[in-house]
Amino acid sequence: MSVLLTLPRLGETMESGRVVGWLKRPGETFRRGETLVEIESDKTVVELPALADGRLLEVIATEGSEVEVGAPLCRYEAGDDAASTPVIPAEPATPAAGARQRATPAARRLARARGIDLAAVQGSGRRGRIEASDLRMAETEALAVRRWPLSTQPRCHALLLHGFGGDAQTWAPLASLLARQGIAVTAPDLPAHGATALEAADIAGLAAPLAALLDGTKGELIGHSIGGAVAVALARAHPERIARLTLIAPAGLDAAIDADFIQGIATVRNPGGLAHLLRRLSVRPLALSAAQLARMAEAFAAGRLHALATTLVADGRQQIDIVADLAALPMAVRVVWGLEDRIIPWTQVARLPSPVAVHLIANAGHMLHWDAPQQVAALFPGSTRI
Amino acid sequence: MAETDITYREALRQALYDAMREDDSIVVLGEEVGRYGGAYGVTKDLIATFGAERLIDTPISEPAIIGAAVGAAMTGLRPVAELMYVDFLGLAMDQLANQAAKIRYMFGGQIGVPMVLRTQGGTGRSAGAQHSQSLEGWVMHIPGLRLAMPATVADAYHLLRHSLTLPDPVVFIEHKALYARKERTDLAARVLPWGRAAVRRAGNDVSIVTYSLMVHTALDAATLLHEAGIAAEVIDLRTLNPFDMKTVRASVERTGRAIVLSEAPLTAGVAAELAARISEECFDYLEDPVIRIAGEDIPVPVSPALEAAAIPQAALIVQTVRRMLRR
Repeated sequence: MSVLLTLPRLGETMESGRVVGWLKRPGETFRRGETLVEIESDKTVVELPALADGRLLEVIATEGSEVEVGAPLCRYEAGDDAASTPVIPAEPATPAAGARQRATPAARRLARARGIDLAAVQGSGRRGRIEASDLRMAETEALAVRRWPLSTQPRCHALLLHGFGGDAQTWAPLASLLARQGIAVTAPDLPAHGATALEAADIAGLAAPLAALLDGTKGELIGHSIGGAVAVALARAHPERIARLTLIAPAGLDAAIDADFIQGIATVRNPGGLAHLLRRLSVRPLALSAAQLARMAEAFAAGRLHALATTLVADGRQQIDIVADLAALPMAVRVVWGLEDRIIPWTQVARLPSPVAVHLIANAGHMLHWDAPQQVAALFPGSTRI
Repeated sequence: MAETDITYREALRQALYDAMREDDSIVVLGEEVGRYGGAYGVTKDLIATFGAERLIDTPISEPAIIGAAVGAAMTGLRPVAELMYVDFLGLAMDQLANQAAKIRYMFGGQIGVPMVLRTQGGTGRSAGAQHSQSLEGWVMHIPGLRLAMPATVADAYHLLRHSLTLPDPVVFIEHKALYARKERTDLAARVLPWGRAAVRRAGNDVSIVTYSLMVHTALDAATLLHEAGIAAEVIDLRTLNPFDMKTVRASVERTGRAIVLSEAPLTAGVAAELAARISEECFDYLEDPVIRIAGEDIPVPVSPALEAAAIPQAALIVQTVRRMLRR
């Protein structure tokens, strides 16, 4: 007969106890009076003896776990049948595969939207329930983040947000220049991109996990293309943590965009097609090896960008608008654009609110931080503090 | 018009006075509404201005009062029938539920019943088990009846004025413990439209959805919770039919936690309906089950101490919210 052993109240005020250690393993037999487990209450450590002969079947409360009075500690087989039945090695007390994780509806919604596996999240709520706030921590952990090393004390911090289909690595030419100017550069792979295990279908989804990357001190926020729209959303939500916003060829100012490029990146299947698309990004052709191209094409073919592409561009037009949000930002904002941009035309600067400074760079395409990294880096001179 | 100190009772009386001045078809009928001025004094002295033709003292017969009002409404008047206690609703239920609520539907929309049934309910005056009930759930359950339950002096005035413009029957349930409540109010100032809930206190940690007297209990609880560092949002529904789910949803989706508060017995009441609606419509935003805090499932006792213990108090709300938030 299998019996549950629950934690008895070992002192008048005891509400729970911690399992210090099991002296019997699953499958082992024991005699009445033998110590099964050591329990620590808030006052003392108590040895819990067996009240009858039996055999331990399963440990439910593992070592180190906190158990409420009345909650099960283990399952054992009591009496004579313990000796006669064959020993079955019991499984450790882990939830069965496919067991439903305890999580609040709000946490489940967030997990669905962001593509987070609840099984990987530690719940902090009642009875280990996963709450929305636990998801937000998991989100930050799921971000792949690149930081560029500095040789000196950082003069300030900069957070760099890449564009559609990009990743942190696309910032390399500019980031190393900024690092040389004493700026501590942080760049994540945005959700639905690169090594970040989160998904996103809109600007809010892209921006959601980024707040944790804003440093305690006010710093620079730099966004390119779609990353520019994400930067604006982030700046709207946390204006007190951003000293200055720099948008490089930002999305969301006007309707025009090379919609074929966005759709192409979201649906590209082979390295050849990808190489063809990437030629539109910059004036200077990219030097990518065949292996690099193949790896990128394979990543895009996984379809992670589909939902995002649909939200951003429909009927050949941009579907997002950052102008109103831009106008409401309290910090200094400037926009940098390449005059040879073939993805989003630089003439959209005409829609900018008047306080926004505009810098136009000749002989540079959409990826002007590839085509003209020095000129972009020069907008962050080492001499000025912000 | 400037702000003046005015009671809930005076605001109701003023609403009747102003409406009757503007609309000759309004008549008031009920037990002791004329010469005596109403059991709770809401119609006091109106007979001096409007005469016994428009302030009609009736026999002690609820079916007669409500039945006469339904007939009068169908034939061109806009009657205000006063039911001295909502507890007597059972006597008038056929006239109300089978006639007033159904006539527009039964006659293919050719005729309506533009009447207001004014009554009062709730605890707070040791009026005993047969004179202290909260029966709004009976009314809310009947399609065809509008239902208003004002918590503030301004709403007492404006919701009653608005009720007296609607084409369909309105049940207007006042609260006996609010009649003497005095607020500094400008009755000429605009209030939220009919059917819109009011956020009486803003907060981000939990939404307390309630109506009538319990709005003030919830506000007391919110003040206590504030001292514990918890920001409770208090929503006053104002009307239960129509019912403003939009405001409730916006609040609960933001806070992730909802408490529904009602003075009526817990089981199968308005609180259950509200909790179900929130669970259905805000499910994906909830961090905890929706909790109902409501009256005990017992007849309301006469003893003031027991009466108070039978309905939600601020301390219980505070305790429940703190358990919910674990802080």
